[in-house]
Amino acid sequence: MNSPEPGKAAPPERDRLSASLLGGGSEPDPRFTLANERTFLAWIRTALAFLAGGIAVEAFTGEVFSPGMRRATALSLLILALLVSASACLRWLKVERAMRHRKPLPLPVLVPILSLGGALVAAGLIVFLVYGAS
Amino acid sequence: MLAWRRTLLTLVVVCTIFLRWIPHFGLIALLPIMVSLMACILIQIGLNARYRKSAKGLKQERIPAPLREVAVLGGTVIVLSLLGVYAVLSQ
Repeated sequence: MNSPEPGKAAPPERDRLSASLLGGGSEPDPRFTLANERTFLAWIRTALAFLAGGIAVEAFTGEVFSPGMRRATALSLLILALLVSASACLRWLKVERAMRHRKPLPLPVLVPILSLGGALVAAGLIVFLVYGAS
Repeated sequence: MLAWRRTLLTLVVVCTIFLRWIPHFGLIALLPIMVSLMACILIQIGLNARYRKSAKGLKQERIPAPLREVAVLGGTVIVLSLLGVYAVLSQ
């Protein structure tokens, strides 16, 4: 932790909620905190894109897909949005804690979730387009 | 701050897409719209204060972690996803 300069007030302490959730340790370089925040926001925007896709599939594809296919695709996208947003929050917290205790950053679980989930939905749609429409 | 604004904009776009659910699901589709708009307003109100705190924190080499903002935004997207899943399953 950085000690205040002589004659200057010490920076404010963390509030109780932050102290309990983030644990002890020392404050990291503020640029790392900001970078972690920006990464979280990028993941949330990805989750919102999946959410928008799920809503759009349910609303607009009534005449393109069978009811079962539409429901399955919409549910897959909405569940992906749920997983990505929940993982993004947990990832942010884990990275903040790791930075405060100077531990290695946690492995990104989000990447395989996103890759696999996106690939499965795309594969399902390709199968439908090739075999389902005929 | 720009990253927050981009995210809020994306959230507003998702809100407007939810409007297309009203013919299918009725007025219950307004619930996710209200949830996301409330989250947008709360985050927007805190954004300017957060920017000033960050600028001050950079000088002091200590920035408070945005715990509440992360919780509100993450919680909102989780709730919206759950509402969507519930709406599709209950159809």
